[in-house]
Amino acid sequence: MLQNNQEKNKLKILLTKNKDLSYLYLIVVMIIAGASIFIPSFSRGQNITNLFNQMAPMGIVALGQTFAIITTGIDLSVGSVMSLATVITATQLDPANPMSVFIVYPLVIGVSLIIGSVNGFIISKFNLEPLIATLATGSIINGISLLILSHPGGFCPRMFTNAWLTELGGIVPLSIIYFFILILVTYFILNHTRFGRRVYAIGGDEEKAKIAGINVDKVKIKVYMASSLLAGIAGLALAARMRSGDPVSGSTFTLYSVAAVLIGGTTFSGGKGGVIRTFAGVLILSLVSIILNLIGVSPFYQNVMTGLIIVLAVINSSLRKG
Amino acid sequence: MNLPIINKSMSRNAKVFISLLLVVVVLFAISGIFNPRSLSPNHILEVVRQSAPLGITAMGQSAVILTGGIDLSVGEIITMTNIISADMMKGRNLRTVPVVLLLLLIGALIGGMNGFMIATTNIPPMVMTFAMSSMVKGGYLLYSGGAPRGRVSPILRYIGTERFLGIPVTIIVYALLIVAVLYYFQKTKWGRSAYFIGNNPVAAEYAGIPKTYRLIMIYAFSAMMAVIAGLILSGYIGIGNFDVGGDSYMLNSIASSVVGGNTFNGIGNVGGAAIGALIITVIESVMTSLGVAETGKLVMRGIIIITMVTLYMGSIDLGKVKKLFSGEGGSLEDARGN
Repeated sequence: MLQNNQEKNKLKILLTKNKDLSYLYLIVVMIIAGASIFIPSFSRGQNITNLFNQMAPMGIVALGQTFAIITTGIDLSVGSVMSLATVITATQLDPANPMSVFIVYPLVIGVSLIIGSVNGFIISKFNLEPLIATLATGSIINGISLLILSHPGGFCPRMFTNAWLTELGGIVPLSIIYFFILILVTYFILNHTRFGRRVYAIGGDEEKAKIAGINVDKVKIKVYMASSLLAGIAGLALAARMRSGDPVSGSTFTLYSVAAVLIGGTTFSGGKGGVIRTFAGVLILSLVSIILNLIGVSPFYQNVMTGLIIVLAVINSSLRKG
Repeated sequence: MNLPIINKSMSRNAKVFISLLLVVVVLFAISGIFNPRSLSPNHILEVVRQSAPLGITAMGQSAVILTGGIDLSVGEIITMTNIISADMMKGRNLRTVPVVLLLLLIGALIGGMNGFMIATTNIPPMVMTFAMSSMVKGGYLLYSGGAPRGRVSPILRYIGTERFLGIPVTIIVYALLIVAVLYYFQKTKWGRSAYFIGNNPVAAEYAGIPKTYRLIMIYAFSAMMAVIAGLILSGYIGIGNFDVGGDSYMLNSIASSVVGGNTFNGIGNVGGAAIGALIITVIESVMTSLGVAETGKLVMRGIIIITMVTLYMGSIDLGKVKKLFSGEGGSLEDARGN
């Protein structure tokens, strides 16, 4: 009983401490409730599977973006990394040889880590603006993807896609489970490890972090490696969903990942925020897109609506901060 | 760099301009080695003409970048201009002026909206202009119903394709525009404030610069420059088409701007972007004449941006880099990122 009370108190403190975050999730719940009441097809199994499948790649890449934005940086190369991952997957998988899966995974992960370390290296050692540096490396990575596969194509055999798309209980695809696992992992890293504290410290005040003896350059390189690695994994999820590779498929994800992080209330001023916030942003963005589809809004209006919603959501988040 | 024509007493912008022009000359020389015909005056004029829409967009982008912002909506504004101008003009000269004025007004409204939101709320410029680009895209898709039609008027066609006394008309328009923009940003109170706001927003505010109005003006300027670039591009293409390359203009305008020596903290020169655009265009044309596909262009663009910006920063401690690669001291540990 006593323990139960303590638990309740803890929850209460957690909720009051992060008032704006609770509001954000309240909005999410309201959107879901409203949609399931007014749109009969919303709660159909197939539809929920679609929502999850759409959410996984965007969510995973947004987790990585959170790291970069907490350090007051930004990673605009994530979309290109995703495209590169889909291209590598679609060209290197060999339907006749099941072992090729064990080549593709290390390859994608290795390539993303190398890209991330190059990003981090340029940003920390050359003191380049993260926005410009990652824009430039993104352009280079795009070029490499086009070299490997100049047009959408290739093929992802079942042995690969099954690992992402198999639906547990006919509804929940594995990709969303990986997403949840990654949320927990990144949450743990950011909040319960020395590295995570250093990430926040650098975001709060880089000079002070340096004086406090933190090797800022090293942490930054790791941050961009994490962001790139998660983008690579998101690319795998995207490849599984499309069942093929596409050298430009990732480009839209770059800014949506930034938008998801900002809607969650992590701001460019750095040192604050976290992946739980980002998750709320991802939920809002994917719910809005699927609801607009369900109620039959023309895709042309969807562009306008998405733009408006991003503006409103980000203004809302940043106002509460201020 | 230890070049005799660059000495310490010169201002930063002068140094940047001279280095940029050297880069242009070197690039032309390289293209001349591969293909001697590319050094003919006709070909050089053609390359400059090709760089005009990019240079115009990049000058607008630079003004925004100098204030510490970024404008991701320019690409879709260019596509929008192409769709609307072709559809409304329907190949009639008489309609040219009203349509151009209308498009400039639309551009001013779009950019003004960007500037207003950015100045009055906490929304980051990147997100605001990205969202705006999504809305603009929705707007022109709705307008055209998914199928662009019509063609631009002969006057616009003339500006986009013909030559006057051997000089492409586009270049004449471009040159006039550069002069006007340079005058505005170097000599007038309103233009100078773009640099102040970026360099020290707090001091700018204390100095009595009405930040909201100036930001609205600067973002509107960027959008209107994109409209002008879109008009020139439409004159060159002649018809309405979704595939005019808006996306590439967005990235290339940022690239041209930073290659032209502009930074996010108000240091630089709006005019540098025009030379930056020329460099990007020359590289692309050299790549094309060498038969290098899209890959080479994208990779080169990335490498050029990183190299140029690194040089401008002047922040590379050469000793530090040497140490890094020779394996002395603790820096190597950092490089490995462990």
